[in-house]
Amino acid sequence: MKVLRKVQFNAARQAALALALAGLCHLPASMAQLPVETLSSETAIKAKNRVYIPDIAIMHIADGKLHVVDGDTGAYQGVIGTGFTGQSKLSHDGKEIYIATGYHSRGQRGERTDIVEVWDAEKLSFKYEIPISDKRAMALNYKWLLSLSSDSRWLLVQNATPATSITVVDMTQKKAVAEITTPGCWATYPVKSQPNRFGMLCGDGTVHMVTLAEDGTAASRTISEPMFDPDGDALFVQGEPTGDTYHFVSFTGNLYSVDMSGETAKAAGKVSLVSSAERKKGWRPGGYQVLALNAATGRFYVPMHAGGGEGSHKAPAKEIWAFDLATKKRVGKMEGHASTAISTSSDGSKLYAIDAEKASLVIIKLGKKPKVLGTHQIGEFPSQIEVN
Amino acid sequence: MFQIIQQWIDKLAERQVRSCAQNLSRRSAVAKIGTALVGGAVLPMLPFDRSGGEAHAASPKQEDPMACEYWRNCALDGFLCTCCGGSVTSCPPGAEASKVTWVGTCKNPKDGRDYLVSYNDCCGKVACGRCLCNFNERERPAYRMGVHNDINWCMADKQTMYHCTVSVIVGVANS
Repeated sequence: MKVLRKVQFNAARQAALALALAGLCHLPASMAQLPVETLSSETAIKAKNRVYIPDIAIMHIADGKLHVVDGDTGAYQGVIGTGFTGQSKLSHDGKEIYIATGYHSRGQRGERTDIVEVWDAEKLSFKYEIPISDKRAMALNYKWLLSLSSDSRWLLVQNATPATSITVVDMTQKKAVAEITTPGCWATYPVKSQPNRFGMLCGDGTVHMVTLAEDGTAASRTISEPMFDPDGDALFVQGEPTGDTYHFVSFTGNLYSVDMSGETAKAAGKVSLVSSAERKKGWRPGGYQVLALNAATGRFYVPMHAGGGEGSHKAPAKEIWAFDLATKKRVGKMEGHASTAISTSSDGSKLYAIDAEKASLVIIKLGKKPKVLGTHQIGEFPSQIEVN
Repeated sequence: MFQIIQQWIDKLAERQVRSCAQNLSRRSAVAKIGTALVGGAVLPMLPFDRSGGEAHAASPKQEDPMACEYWRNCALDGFLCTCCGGSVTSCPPGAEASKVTWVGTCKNPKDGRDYLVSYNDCCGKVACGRCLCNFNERERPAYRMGVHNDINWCMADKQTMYHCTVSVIVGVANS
């Protein structure tokens, strides 16, 4: 019986198919068959405003990525492989992408090779590579672990063995020219008006300044007075500059400003971003890129969570707070989007936020009533944003 | 407060259907409870009571070496070796213990003591990909390298690929 039923069913199905095909024969002439197509490759990125999102791809860490997304529409533009814990930096003219990374000869094992790769930012194609020291820090993606001097000459690569140092790459010679030991200090903050100078945050609460000689070695180093308390109120290493002054958010919700224009760094102000009542409720900044600053619009933004305390400094945001850059007063709050990294668009009209729970880019139109323009799933473990 | 971070790791992991199978349902429940609390603007539950030095009752997850909330993991950011074929004090087969480490200070809820915990990475094999945890008590940026966890501690080994992380007691603090 079962066999018979199956035969009957198949017969009915075939009849239905025949009817459907008969219907197709009566299609209008406008639905003629599709033309034969030609295969090609996209020659360049179409988006004018781009968001670059590094992704350590922790689940398969040897195979990191840099995602490129249209900053207006959220449309995915393309990707560059960034190897094992690669850090990326866009050139100042936006035409090249630098990636400091490393590879093992057998994927998970074998001889290690560390390099700076230079990629064409329009075509997303490889241009050339520069060998660097295998002391390169194998770190999560953080802004300022790969920095470029304001004159585009010096590319500064963070090292850790775990002793810390900086590999100085001369991009005019396309060569690593020096290693500068920087014990107890981390990240490099290029000084806009002094292309040969950069600052570093250090574990004793001081800020070190290094001025390079023409050969890329350290011509001078200075140590500031202690400016922050790494135990009680540590600074997040992702700072943002206005001119030669860098601004840093601290774990408990203060904004520290550091003037790096001179040979020695100077404290240039500290303000609380939280009221005493908010402080009691544990409102704190959290994430990996915790300060979005736009000098043109005079606004900065910080991802905040409530109920925070020791150990909550990487917590995703419950709210994103907006501040006026001149007065440092809060001017608004918006939904947090569980963000752990934020940045404004270069014109300051949009805020980009990485939703850590959804591994997504949230595009927010800024204004009196911020409006979410879209949420776009990007990669696996995005933790940083760079814009052109 | 610690749950806030672990929650998003859990949610991310669940999204990617790559969580630790044995702990998934229980941890999801914890995450949901935590979300409700945060949503209600109430302080989220702390994984342990740190108000004093006395011994406190431990929750089951604090005693489960395959749970992110295991008490030794208070500053562990990475894959638990206990879920990868190793234990809290041993690397999985074929992986090599890192030569250098970061150190956390975690309170054992059973005896109320603060222990120094060495978070050695296990090295030389691909990322384990199981039981991804992210706790950061007393963790600091890399200008305090010895208590930093956003870096590969296989960095001083011959084979530097990151596999997973163990949590070895190396002493007692405040004793």
